[in-house]
Amino acid sequence: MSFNTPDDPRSRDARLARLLAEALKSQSGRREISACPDAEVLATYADHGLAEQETARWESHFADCDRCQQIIAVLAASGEELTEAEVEKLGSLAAASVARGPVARNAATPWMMIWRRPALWRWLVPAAGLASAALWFALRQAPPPQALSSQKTAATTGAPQSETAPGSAAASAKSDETQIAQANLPAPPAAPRPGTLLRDQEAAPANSSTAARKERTDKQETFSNAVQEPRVSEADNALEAREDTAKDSRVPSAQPVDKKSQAVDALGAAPPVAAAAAPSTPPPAREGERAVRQELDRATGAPVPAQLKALTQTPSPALVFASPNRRALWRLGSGGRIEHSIDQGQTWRPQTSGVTADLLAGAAPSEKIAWVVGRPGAILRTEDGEHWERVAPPPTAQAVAPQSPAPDWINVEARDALHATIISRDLRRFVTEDGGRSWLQEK
Amino acid sequence: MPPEASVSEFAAFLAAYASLLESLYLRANASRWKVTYEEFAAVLYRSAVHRFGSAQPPSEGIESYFQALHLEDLALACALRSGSEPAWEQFVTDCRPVLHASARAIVGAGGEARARELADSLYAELYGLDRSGAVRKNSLLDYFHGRSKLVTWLRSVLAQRHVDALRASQRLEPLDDEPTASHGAAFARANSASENMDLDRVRLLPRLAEAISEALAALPVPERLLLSLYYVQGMTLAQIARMRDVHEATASRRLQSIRRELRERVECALARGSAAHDGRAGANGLSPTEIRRCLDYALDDWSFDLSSILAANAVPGRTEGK
Repeated sequence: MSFNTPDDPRSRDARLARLLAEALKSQSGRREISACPDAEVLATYADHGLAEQETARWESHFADCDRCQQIIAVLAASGEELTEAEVEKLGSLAAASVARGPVARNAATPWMMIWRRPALWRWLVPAAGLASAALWFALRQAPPPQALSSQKTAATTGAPQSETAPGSAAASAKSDETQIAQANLPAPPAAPRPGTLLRDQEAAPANSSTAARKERTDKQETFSNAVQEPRVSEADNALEAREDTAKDSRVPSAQPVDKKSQAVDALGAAPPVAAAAAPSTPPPAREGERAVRQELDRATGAPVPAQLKALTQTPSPALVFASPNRRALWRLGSGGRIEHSIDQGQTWRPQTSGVTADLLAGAAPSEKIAWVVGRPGAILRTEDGEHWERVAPPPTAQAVAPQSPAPDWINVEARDALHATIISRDLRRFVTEDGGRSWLQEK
Repeated sequence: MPPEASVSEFAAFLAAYASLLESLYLRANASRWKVTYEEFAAVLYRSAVHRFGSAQPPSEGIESYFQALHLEDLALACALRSGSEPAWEQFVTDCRPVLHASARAIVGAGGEARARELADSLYAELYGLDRSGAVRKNSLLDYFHGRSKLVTWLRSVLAQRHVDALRASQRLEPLDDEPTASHGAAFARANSASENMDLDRVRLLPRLAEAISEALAALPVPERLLLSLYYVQGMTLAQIARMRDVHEATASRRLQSIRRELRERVECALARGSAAHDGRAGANGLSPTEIRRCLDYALDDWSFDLSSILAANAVPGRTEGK
């Protein structure tokens, strides 16, 4: 039987289903909580680890149990929004890079957009001209590599050995400062341990290369697979559009699930193949090249490929914290690595921490004030957002034996430059009210 | 040896599955955390006892059960339980950020302090401290048996705690003079306030309620669960697809199919009518026009409370474990 109505049958289906949902809601919650499964059964269900018979048994319970349905929903949301929270920290550019899939494909997007949109061609000539001029200017300014290395030597030894013309040495020295400074950066940290793969995924959802991306995808948790997989096809999107879009639009449409890629756990001590494949630091950007890229991207309206590339080539540090207004971000990592961003994660500048210890946590009560802690016993603070000073740890923080190493600080909470609380690995809490000059252990 | 088992039972277990346990120990890479063979075997034994509910787990199925465990996570948990510093360092590095991020996601945007409290309290219990900060005999890790990933289990515990806290904080205000009469009477009460009462509504809406009850009762469990998760719990199709390990488009098509099927069932039930039963008079089948009007009445803005009507007319019970 069918209706001869002007209403779309699918619309009536949806409306009737909502009515049924009310009916279901009224029937749920009748199960006794004692019949609910424990956390491990729920987790195993989420991991698709229950046997068929067991799945059927528990789904029969879930269908009538409001509590279990709520837990399942929260469990699903926690995994998905985990990625969303980290994406939000890295700014809208990270969100765009995640939503648009592999970087390799994104890198081609600006050119594809140009070919597919003839209206953009009118911008191509002036953009190309401007790009050429910028490139010419940059090449004219930059000394040959040999001269660059000579200048680096001069910077370190004090003996001027530049082979460039005297007139241009002074003019080019300043523009090369950045390159020299970057060349003199400390060596990039060693390849991360296997366990840090999960941290990398939190900070850089999109990887640098398709191959490394696939390897990392195979090792990801179930909840982070939703970010790494390619988008649903257009046909599937159209199908989904018929659904209740108000609800589904709360969360960006996730990508299809690869059944075979969910089995491996990052904790499973897999060899750091993916990490080794990804370069640990982005190459130093040359001013001219950056200008060319930016001009082209402005012409096409596409996201900046260089920034995407830099973002996706995130090195091992993956702990990110931000100021309350999100204008200042810091990124921490092993070997005392700190990076700073003032443009919501689009670009990062390394900062000197003064330590080589692994940094584990940070807190920023403002754009200029931040605290960072790590191991062993590392406590750092900045009052201008740029320069870090080491803070002496609490003297009573040592273990009972005086020869014991300083404890690892795994968390920090900060109210301002003077007030902060640090937490050791054995969960002892120490509070300072004078910027770290003195500490008091909380009971 | 697990405290709940006798020496002889555990010894018998070790002897019966020696080669299997050795291979599992190697696969788990437990020596990385300096977990001994005996310690790991004890953990496996505890896991089997928990799963099969017997101090002597049945031989049939135990190998496949062990092979399906997340052995490396289990070894890590074992090392954490014994206080291994390298294991705790690994856990702090890998799991703690995930724990905090999950807690933030669970609690929501404005609950940074609450999220931190949720995550840290769990972390403390994993470490072996109770909620007052005192050292406890058992760690929360004792409840992890390797059936799922360690991180998923942690998220599951967080989710459980959060939901239970929310449910405990919700006040259930008892209604005065809670109606217990049949659905017809409940409907009539809801209707009585309206000055322009439509007699059609009085006649048709109880029929609709009954048809919906029938349709729901006939719905297979997985489909009823999908419907509940989508409409009642507000899960997205992407989340449901991941939970069911299917493509998102598949979940979407399935949902559409269920809705279509339900509508057809309801229409058929209304058109068929009902025979007299339980003292109630039978009802003739409705015409297509009446069926359409029936649904319109229920779906317009007029206060039709299907929930209370269905609650008054309990759906035939379903047994657990089918």
